[in-house]
Amino acid sequence: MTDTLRSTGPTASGDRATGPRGDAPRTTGTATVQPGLVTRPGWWPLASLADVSGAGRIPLSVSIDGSPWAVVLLDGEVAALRDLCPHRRVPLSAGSVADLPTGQVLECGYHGWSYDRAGHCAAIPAIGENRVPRGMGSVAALETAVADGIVWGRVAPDADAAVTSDAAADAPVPTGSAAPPSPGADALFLRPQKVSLPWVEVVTELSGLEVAARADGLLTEGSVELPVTASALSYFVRPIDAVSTSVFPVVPADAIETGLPEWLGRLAAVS
Amino acid sequence: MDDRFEPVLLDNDDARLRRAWHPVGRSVDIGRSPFAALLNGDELVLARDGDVVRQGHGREGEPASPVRILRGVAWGVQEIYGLVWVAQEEPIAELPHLPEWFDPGYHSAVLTRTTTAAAGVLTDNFLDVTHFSYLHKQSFGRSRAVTDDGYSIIAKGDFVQLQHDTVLQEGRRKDNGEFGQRRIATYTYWPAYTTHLQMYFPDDGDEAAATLICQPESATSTRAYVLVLVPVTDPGIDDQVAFSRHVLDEDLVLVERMTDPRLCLSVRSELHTRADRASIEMRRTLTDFLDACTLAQAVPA
Repeated sequence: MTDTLRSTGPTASGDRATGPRGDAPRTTGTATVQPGLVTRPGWWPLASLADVSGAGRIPLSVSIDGSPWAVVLLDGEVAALRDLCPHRRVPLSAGSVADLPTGQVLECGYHGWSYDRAGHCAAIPAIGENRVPRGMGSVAALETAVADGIVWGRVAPDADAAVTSDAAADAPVPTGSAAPPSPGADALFLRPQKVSLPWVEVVTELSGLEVAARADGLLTEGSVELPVTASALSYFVRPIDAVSTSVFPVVPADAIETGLPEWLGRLAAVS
Repeated sequence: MDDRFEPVLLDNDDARLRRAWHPVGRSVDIGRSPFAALLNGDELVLARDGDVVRQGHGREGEPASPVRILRGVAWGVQEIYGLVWVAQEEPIAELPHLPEWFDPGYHSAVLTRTTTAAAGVLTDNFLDVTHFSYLHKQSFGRSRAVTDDGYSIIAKGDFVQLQHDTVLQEGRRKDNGEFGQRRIATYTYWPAYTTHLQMYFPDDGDEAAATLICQPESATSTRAYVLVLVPVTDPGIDDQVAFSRHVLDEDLVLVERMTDPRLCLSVRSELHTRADRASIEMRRTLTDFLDACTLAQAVPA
């Protein structure tokens, strides 16, 4: 159990355990909007860098409150691309990294459409080499940053508003902080854990009703560090979808030996 | 950067397709005992009025115990191609003619799989020769991608047919025992969900066929049948069945990961290249068929 929390080996595999369809609401009828395209603004912890690099050429599928992103290393840099190929609507996280002369790309597993870190379509094999019309087939990409061993992502403030929200396409995207939040030099992240509860319930369990009552406001512009009740521990959360949450546990650097088992107990109680 | 689109997605239990013939089970699986099936979200229970099960090719005229519906509502039942078919309401089209089935020079096997992917997605996948180099690169896909000059296509309104000339890296060996046999394939799609693949191997003059037929069980479930048809002189029917199963499973692994595995009918909601002509024509043909079902509904018989 301890090993599952230590931020070391590559065992996690993104948020896919939710099931092949995820838990995004499925509308009925024939006219519908593709679910899961609304991404909350601000910085969100996506995964540990160890998990992303450990997955090698296979992307992790990471969901920010129902909005899916494929997270993978391309030429050593983290890329977070919309997890949906615009050609045949299969997830790009079902693809893998390919090497083009211009650099590494994420190649869709269905027909080989390939995307660079910025989400630009770099190859469409069916129309021949080096013949992708400018701008064709691009997908949205998150701005990413790596801090404290955690991969963070956000919708870039200058990104197309459509990436952020279907409902409020004209609303200004908050500028926010240029860098993701950090627990500080005297704290360490443990391995992120998936909890099969809505994030409000997770925050209620870990931080108490008072913090949970404020949490919605706290999370409107990205994830923030939250305190664990009666403890030196803290954490960040990322809502995966309506029914599951990713917890990014933090321990004081000088209290790992006691913090680790305490986190195990807290998370066991929540789960 | 705009990744918003509003696709028109075909529900797997769309009520319009109650006016089409669909398979509900394999002939060999339906006997005197009640057999439960799902079709377009409806439960059906079928049974045979005797013990004589319909046999294979060219034997449709031989006596067989008829299949009747014990529970559920249906306009009609028929048995052909090793399958029992049901139309829930008066169908707007007859089943297509699959010539190899009536050819005494052929024998067959029917394999089946159940999946969460929609029948339209599976059909689109079967008709799509441009994904071989990627999804099937571990099996029969050739290294060079299929471009728009890699196949020819005709669309006649009620069916789509494409011809594809390729070299197979698995499934069928040349006379010298090696892979790499040339295959000229003709795919024909008829709505709702029947796609017939006829193969000609010019190296040795052999022929074979395979048909994908999908049963839309419910909004979230499809049963796929693959009729494998090979000449009786070809000893490799077991190999062909294993190969077809392997290819189908490779496809299912990917399409079952779709967040919403329904077929997108609105051509503008997905991106297409010229090499996607078959996919586009398949969508148009199915859309026309759905419209015809609606029209038939509006005009009382």
